Amino acid sequence: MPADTTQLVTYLVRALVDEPDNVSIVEKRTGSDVLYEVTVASEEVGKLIGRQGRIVKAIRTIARAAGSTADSHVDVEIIG
Amino acid sequence: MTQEITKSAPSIEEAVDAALEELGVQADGAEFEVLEQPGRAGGDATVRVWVKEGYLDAPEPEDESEEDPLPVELTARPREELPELTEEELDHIADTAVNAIQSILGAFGIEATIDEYEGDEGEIILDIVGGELGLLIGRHGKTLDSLQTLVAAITSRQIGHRFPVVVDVEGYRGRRREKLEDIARRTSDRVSRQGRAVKLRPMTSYERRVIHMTLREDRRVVTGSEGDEPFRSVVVSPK
Repeated sequence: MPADTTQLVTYLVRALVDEPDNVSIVEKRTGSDVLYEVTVASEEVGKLIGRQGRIVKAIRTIARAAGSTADSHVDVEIIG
Repeated sequence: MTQEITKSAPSIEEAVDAALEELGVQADGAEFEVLEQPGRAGGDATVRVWVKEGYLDAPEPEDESEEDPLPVELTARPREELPELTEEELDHIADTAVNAIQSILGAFGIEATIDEYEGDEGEIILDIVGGELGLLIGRHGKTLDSLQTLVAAITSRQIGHRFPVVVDVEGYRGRRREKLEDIARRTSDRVSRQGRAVKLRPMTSYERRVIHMTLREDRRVVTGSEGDEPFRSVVVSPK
C-alpha cells in the first residue's frame, strides 16, 4: 500500500506549529506530481523553515520518500 | 583473492562496505554497481563490487590535508549537561517522541516496533525495528536524518524544552558508526604501513566527521577532505 503523503505532510506541519488550527494546506496535483502549499501565520513560518531551512528540507525529504512508494514526485512549499 | 562479490544490506553504503571488507580492498581500489536500490519496496540494497583492474599500479591519490570545515551544527554543539529529570519526565519525553514516530509511520502505512534505549550521554535512543525499513533510511541515511530532525523538533515543541532524542532504524546509526570507525582504523594502518595517502569513498558530512574524530588522536596520520558534495571524500595522509 502506498504511503499517504497528505496525511504525512498534514501531521508534520500541524505538530510543528503552536496553532495547528490556523494551518491551511492546499494540494495541487499535476499528473503524478503533488505540490503541498502550506500557509501559516507569519510568526509561525520560522518554525516550519528552521535554521538554514533544515526543517522544511527534512519535511520535503520525508514527503518525497513517502511519494516514491506511489511513484509520485512530492514538493512542499511554506507560505507566510 | 576473490575479485568480485555481490552483497545485500539495508543501505547501499553498508552493502558496499561489507563487500570491500570481504574483498580486502579500500574504496579507491574497487568499483561497484547497484543491482537493487534499497527501500522502494522496503527491501535491501544489493550491490556488485569488483577490484579495479590494475589496482596495484594505480597512481597515488593527491595529498590533501586542509581542515575539513565541519557543519556548524556538529562543531558548535557543546557537551551540554543534561537537565536532571525524573523517571516520569524521561518517560514522558520518550512517549512524546514515540508518538511522533508512530504518527509518521502510520502515514507511511508501516507497522513497526520502537525499542527504547538510553545512550552513553543520557540521550534517549529510539530504534525502529520490524524489517523491510530501508525506505526510512534512504540514500546515505538522508531520510533517516530528516526523520531525526523532525522527531526532535516535534518532541521539543511538545515538551517545551530541548532534550536529545536519537532516532534510528534497525540499528543503522550504531552499525554505521562502528563500521566507519573500523574503516578509519584500517585505513590509518595501511597509510602508515605504505607511507602514502589513501582517499576513501565519497561520504556525507556525518560520515566524514566520524572518520576525522576516530583518527584525531592517531599520531601516525592526518585527515583532510577533498572534492565537492556529494562526492566529498576524506583523504588520510601520513604525518
